[in-house]
Amino acid sequence: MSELISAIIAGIAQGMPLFIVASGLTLIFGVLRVLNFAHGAFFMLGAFLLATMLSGGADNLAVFLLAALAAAAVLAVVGVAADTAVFKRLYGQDHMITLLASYALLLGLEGLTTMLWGNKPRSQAPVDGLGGSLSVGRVEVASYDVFLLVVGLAIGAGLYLLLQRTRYGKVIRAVSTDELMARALGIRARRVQAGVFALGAALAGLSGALMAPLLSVDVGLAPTYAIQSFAIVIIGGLGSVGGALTAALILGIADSLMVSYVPDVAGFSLYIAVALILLLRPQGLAGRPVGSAA
Amino acid sequence: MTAQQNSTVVAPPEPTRSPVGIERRRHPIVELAKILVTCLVIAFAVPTVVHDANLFLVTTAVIYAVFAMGTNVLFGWTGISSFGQAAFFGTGAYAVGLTKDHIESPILAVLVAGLAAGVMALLFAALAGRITGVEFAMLTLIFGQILWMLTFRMDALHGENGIPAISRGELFGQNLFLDDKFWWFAVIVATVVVLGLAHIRRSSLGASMNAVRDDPLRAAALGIDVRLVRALAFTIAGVVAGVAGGLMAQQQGLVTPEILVWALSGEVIVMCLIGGMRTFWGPAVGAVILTVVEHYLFDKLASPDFFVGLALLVVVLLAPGGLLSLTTVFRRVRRRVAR
Amino acid sequence: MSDQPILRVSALEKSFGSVHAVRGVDLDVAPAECVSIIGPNGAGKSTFFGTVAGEHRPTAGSIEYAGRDVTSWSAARLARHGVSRTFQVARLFGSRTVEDNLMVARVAADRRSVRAWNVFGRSSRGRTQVQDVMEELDLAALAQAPAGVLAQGDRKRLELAMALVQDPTVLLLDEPTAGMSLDDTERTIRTLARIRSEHRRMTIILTAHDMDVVFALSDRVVLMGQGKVVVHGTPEEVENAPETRELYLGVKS
Repeated sequence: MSELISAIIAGIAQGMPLFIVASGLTLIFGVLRVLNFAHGAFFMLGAFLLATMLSGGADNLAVFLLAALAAAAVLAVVGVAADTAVFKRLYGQDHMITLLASYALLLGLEGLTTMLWGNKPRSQAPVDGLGGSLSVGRVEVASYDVFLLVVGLAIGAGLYLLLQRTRYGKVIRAVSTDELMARALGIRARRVQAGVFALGAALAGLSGALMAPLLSVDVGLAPTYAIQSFAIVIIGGLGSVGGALTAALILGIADSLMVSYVPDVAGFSLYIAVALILLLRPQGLAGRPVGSAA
Repeated sequence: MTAQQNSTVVAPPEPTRSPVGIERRRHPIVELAKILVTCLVIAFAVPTVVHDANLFLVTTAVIYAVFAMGTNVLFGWTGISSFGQAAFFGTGAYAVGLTKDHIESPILAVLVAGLAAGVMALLFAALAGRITGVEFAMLTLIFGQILWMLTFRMDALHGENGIPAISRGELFGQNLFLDDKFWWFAVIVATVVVLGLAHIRRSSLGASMNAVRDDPLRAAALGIDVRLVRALAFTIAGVVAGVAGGLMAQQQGLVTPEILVWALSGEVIVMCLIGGMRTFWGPAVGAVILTVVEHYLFDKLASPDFFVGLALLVVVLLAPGGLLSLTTVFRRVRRRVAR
Repeated sequence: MSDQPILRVSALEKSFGSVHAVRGVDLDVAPAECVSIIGPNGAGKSTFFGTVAGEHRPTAGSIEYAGRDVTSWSAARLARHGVSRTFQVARLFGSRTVEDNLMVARVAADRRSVRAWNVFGRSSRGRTQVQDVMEELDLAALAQAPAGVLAQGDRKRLELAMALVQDPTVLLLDEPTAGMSLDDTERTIRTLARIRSEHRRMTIILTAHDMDVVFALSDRVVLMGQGKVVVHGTPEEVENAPETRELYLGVKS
């Protein structure tokens, strides 16, 4: 029983970084109306930046967090640059063109990463003090999982507050729901797009940074996490941050349980889930395909 | 779903060249003859200027050209987006790999490859049902990933190391082990495929595919079974991808899960786009360019991806009709200047 | 001639979520009849038209066509069985020539649209039919023009031609003179009248806002209001009916 709880908590914790990266993607979808392939590259860059800043070595929590936030900040700039250089120019064009441009961006960023960092995968040591596990009663939980859980909840709460309780959040939601109307009301939609790109890319970068100690940091992260975040967003419902959270949690738990009990099938769960959703409930868990950014 | 969200047409809706009406079109036999002659010229000419490792590379380019032209049946002809065509390319390759000890004739092997991929494609299209647009594209992506993961996990598919020692076989007494012999085999297969595609393009099905691409609602109102047309397009693309995959397995001599990797699905789209999705030969041109360029860049620099990505970006932003569309623009400019 | 209506609509309802556009309509259309469906905006004409054309699936009720239950049929299936329609705003295949557009329509009606082994446009019978329709609608000179560059009036004529070339049993016209100038409207009315006299067995159902069109062509008029049939009969009967005055608060537009 305690193993089950362990697995569930691990699942929730592993779902959190997926939620963070997917939330960025779903926000961007809200203003861009396409799923941005380059989002996986934002994740990858976050991991690389963190590993570089900390030189792969262990450090205390404060330094780690600082580095992670710094990586997120850099990605915010990258996001705005991507928007300015590419997506703004394709404004109003067919969605497939935008999708292909985002794929081009993914390739380009992958290539850039190889040119700057070389071909060898890197590793990032776990945070000092968070490498082990805690015991809560008879349940054993990895310390880093607890950390991820806390961070994930904080981000989730932060996003909720931003989107539902601030004026800027309202503006974002307005543009996501009905851009024409929003512009008619005087909202500078293009500026909102840049801001959302900054936020979305930052979230992806942050997630990458947080995951760095758990992964092999190499270029392969980009397509992998592009597809993973796509999947979460589709399952949760395009444009819905709450849906992304639900989907990430469910899938995190499912995957964790499968790894413990039916390891052969683990890894497929994500893809099977997406396929099922697309076939049976294409609008995703959260319902409305257009609109709601939260 | 708004009409906009469902839109998957890649090339610009305006014609990149003036449509040639029924009256002025050349007789189909003439068109097919021209294609045959072109392929024969290439078949003879290439081995005289290109040898050994370079011939190997050009053969690879031809195989990718076949793959790309099949994929363009989806993108350019019918307006369907698929991010998982590597699944069918890989199915063809694995079909050849798995039957290597049972099938001696290289032609039969390639046919089996095409058939296997075709069946896979038909099943997928049937499963996808009425789903179109971006959701369909995502489904193809997922499908491709699942197949890729299966090749790692399933023992029957030989896992990570793949299937080695695939022999090319013999054709009319010629051992295809030699690259210049295999070149002929590859070109002949490619020619047959291209002739087939050219014929379909001129058929009623081809016209219906274009109608479905341009205005599916209108096409349906006229009585065209849009879902069937899409399923047929998907199957044709699958068969051609499978044939190309089979050729690849024979040429390389081995099959690994790498052949199903998502990046390949993306690359073939880039080939179509760079060459021009609204033209017949565009994807082939794009395939040759990309294959050759990547090979040389891969030697000089560590990452062809950067330049491929950049090139794709340039094309998407400046010339979405691809390179071959630029010749039309050129022609138009010349005409205007001549007046 | 048989007494059977070519089209029988019974208790037809169509709702989009909480919007009940069509709330129970009965309509019998006799073969070769021309019926106009009129009504103010929001009356449900377009939805009714779209449901009969197979674009929407009815929420309730049934549609019978030549004695067969076609309630669940798609637009494509109806078109393959002789029910052709036009769109209010012409939907043409812009990158193809006028002749090709018509050929696509003709091939679809012949149920040959998925043939991969023939050559598109080489059927001599099909080409003759296309040629005939182009002459009938004064499009012959534009045969090789790309449909995308046609002027507005030509576009509407091509739209009509695409339906006509399918040799339909039932022709559904969605606002055939929508947005037209007075001259174009008159020309279209004359064209439609001519078509009627040359295709005597063809049934026509049209929606219209313009009463000139209605009076010139219709045998019967059905006035819809708020999703239901308010009054129906000959054009004169409907014009003079008290319900009509009540619904429109005025005279013909």
